[in-house]
Amino acid sequence: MGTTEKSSKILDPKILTRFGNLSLIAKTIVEGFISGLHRSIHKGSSIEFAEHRQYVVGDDPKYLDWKVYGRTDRLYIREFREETNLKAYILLDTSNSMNYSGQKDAITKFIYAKCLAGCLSYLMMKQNDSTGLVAFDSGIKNFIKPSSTRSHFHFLIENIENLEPGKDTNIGETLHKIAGIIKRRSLIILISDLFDDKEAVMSGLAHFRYKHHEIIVFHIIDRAEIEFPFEGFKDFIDMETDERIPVDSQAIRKEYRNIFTQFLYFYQKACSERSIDYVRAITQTPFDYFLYNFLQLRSRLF
Amino acid sequence: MGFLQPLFLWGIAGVSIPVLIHLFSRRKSPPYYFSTLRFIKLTRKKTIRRQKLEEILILLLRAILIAFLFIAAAQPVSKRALFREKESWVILVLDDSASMSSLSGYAWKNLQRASEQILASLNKQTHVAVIFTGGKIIPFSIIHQDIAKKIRESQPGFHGNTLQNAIEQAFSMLDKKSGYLKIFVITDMQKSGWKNFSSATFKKINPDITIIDAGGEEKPVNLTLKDFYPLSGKAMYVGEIINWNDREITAEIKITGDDFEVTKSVTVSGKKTGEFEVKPDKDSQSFKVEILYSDDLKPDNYFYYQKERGAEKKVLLAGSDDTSVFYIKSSVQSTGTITVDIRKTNEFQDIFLGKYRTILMVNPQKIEQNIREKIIEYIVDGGTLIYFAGDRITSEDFNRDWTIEGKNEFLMPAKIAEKSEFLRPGKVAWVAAAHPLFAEFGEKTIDYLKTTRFNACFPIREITGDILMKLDNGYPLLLEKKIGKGRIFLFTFNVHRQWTNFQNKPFFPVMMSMLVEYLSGYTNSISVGDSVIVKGTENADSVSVINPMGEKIIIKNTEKKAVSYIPDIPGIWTAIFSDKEGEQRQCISANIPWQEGDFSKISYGEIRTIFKKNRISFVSSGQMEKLILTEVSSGKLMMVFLNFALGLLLSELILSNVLVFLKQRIARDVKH
Repeated sequence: MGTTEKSSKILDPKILTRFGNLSLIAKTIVEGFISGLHRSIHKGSSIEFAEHRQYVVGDDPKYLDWKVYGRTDRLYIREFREETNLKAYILLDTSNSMNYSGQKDAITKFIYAKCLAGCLSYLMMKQNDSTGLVAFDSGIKNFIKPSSTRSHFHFLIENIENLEPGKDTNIGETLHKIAGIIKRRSLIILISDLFDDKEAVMSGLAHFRYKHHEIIVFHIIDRAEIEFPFEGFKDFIDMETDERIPVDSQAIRKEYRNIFTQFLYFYQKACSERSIDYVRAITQTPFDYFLYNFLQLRSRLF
Repeated sequence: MGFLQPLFLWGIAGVSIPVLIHLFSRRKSPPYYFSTLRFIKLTRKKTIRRQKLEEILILLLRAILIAFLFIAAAQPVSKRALFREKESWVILVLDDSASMSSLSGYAWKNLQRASEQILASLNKQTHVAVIFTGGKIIPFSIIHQDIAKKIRESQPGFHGNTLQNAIEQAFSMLDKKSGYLKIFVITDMQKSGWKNFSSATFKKINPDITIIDAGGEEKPVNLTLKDFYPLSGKAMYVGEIINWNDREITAEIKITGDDFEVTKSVTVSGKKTGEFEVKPDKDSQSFKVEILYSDDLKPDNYFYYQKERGAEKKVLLAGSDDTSVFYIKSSVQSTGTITVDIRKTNEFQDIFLGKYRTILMVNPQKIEQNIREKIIEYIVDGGTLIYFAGDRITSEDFNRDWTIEGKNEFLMPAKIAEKSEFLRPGKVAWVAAAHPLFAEFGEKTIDYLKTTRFNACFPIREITGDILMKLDNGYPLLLEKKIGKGRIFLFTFNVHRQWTNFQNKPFFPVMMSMLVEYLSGYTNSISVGDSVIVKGTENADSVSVINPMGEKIIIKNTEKKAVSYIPDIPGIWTAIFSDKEGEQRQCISANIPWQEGDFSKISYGEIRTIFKKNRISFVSSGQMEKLILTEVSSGKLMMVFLNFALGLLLSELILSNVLVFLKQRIARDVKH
């Protein structure tokens, strides 16, 4: 995976979230992650050297290549291809189902998602990518246009930090709306548990693809949601709708697991069919795994 | 269908227990906030529904199980059950003892109603017989109306409870009958009626038995006169009164003699017997004692006492040894109430022995065959014999003569050996102090015999009776034996100075009179329903019996023997007959047995232990009103419901176990 065990310990979400300050968390995670990488990514990616050309009057002398001048006595301007101008939108699902954690002392999916969003924005800020944020539940709650400045990053982090879980989800429709708003080709990072109508979600994602956006889906899942480790009779209450169903957990466990696995598999398959990057994020997984995944994708894209 | 114990039906409310448990456990399942029910709902469709179905199935099973258990406990009854058998034989044993007339005949009315309901519910082909405990029997018949009419017209008697005989009779009547056999016993459940009850002598058949309690829950306030008798030698009478209630009761008692009337007040504490004394100014032949305390059990409130009249206590004394006879005669006559006839044994041929209470034989000679047979017959029929063995008889003769021919039985308590003369005079060392004969003196008897010496006696062998008195050298002096209805006392010595000085001691006449009293004395107050034997009727062609109402019944005496009659109402009964000595009257007072006053009931459990082999069921007095469809084979129906309940229990167990197993399997699969 490219991360050391040490860093994975540092980046354990459970420990990190105790810091409370999201920017600090994001910084810790990202710096820790980066220092663990063998190849430095500081150079290369944001500004890339393209070619040399002869200095003409009016050129900014700060771009003169003094080394070439020293060797050849000719004035050359270093010409850079400005990297991307990459605009990224983090689409953060704030529906109430995200506010779930399978164990009492574990972090909720929502906090996990917030951390992830923070890390990603920090990472992108470091790379001079412009980052925007769309928080949504049944509709759009926050829309922050992307920018790459440091002050913007802080604004972003503050916004993410202040997010509270909202009502029920309507991912499909919301994605369509967002897709209608974002005009320029961008990187869309969807952080959600995707607990909505599968087809609607996929159709929303397809809308982005249609507009030539690149999409990466971080599918946030709690382990309990996969394994259904409950015992005995329980009154299950839907966190979004307050609907109540009495269930003999053991009796339905097997079937539940089947259904849930199918649900996961569906997204995996449907995403790959539409060239959408799909990363399953179980809340116990350290963040650097996702960052790595993200960076790989990022470097592949631009 | 009806129920014998309908109170148990309330238990069906217990069905609510599993329902409540079901609801309670449902509510108890803890709430759990889950991110989405989207996926649970998909599984729920199948699993939860099946789960609920299983739950409801088990719930139903449990509910029905409880319901069936209580239905079984309520003893369901069905009229039709009786008619399954082609032939049914039903006997109603009706308790018409005196106690049934208590509480203004409430118990008796209950009995009549119950029997009418039983008769009405029977199949027309059912053979029905009725046995009253008083002895009246209505034989098997299928004309039920006639039987119902007879029961309607019947009245309770004054006799005691003789359920034992009546039920035994019912068993015999059902013996060798094929088909469904049933005995209904309708009684007030009086405990005394079941005392010493034993089904050991009953025919070995297994009829269904239903005991119907007609007695009601209410206990009458009750006092009973137990006895009334004169104290000998004093012009005083003593009465005993029983208070059956828990509290102390003061009763006014009226004693009516031939021409006087006395009233006494007696206080008896609860559950105790009290005594009262009466010293009337004039003596009287008969007495009527009455409790003026008003309660519902009227017939039990009075008691009759009749002094003996006519039938004197006569003793026949036979013997040839003049001195011995003299001693005995004077001893017996000293009581003043006993007449002694002295005859030679060879004169016995012409005497009707039946009129004597006791025959005394003192050192008799060898007795002729025919006279011996007469004596044996007399004893077996209820006579008594006191025999002093003396020098005129040899042991061989004695041992041979008193063997009852054909039966290989010896009449006397023991055979004797050759007379044994002691070197040193023997003293009386042991007396059966508990024997009624010595009861008056008890252990002190020995003291009275301290100076008595014995020089000789007959040793005994092959003893068949009981030893009552023994010498210090081990030789027995007095033996007793019961044979037939009679008794024999054998003294192994003669009252002669060669043998002993006993006859010169003051205790001898006392003992002799006690012995004669003991043998000849029978109570002159009997219970209604007991048989009375009129003795001395050998020469009478007939005996007239006059009952307390003054009605005369003539009993023909064709066999020229003692006749008997059974008093059926309380009061003074008189038997009149003529023999050689002219017209003779024998009076006796018949009373209601005092046990009838005791209204404590026997428990069902105790009755069950009596009829271990029979299916037995009970109808309590509380259910008498509801006894429209008379129970027939509640046992069978009860078993049906019990079996159902058992089946349900098993299926519940199996079902729940299967469910647990399935769940475990699912859990195991999930782990894998």
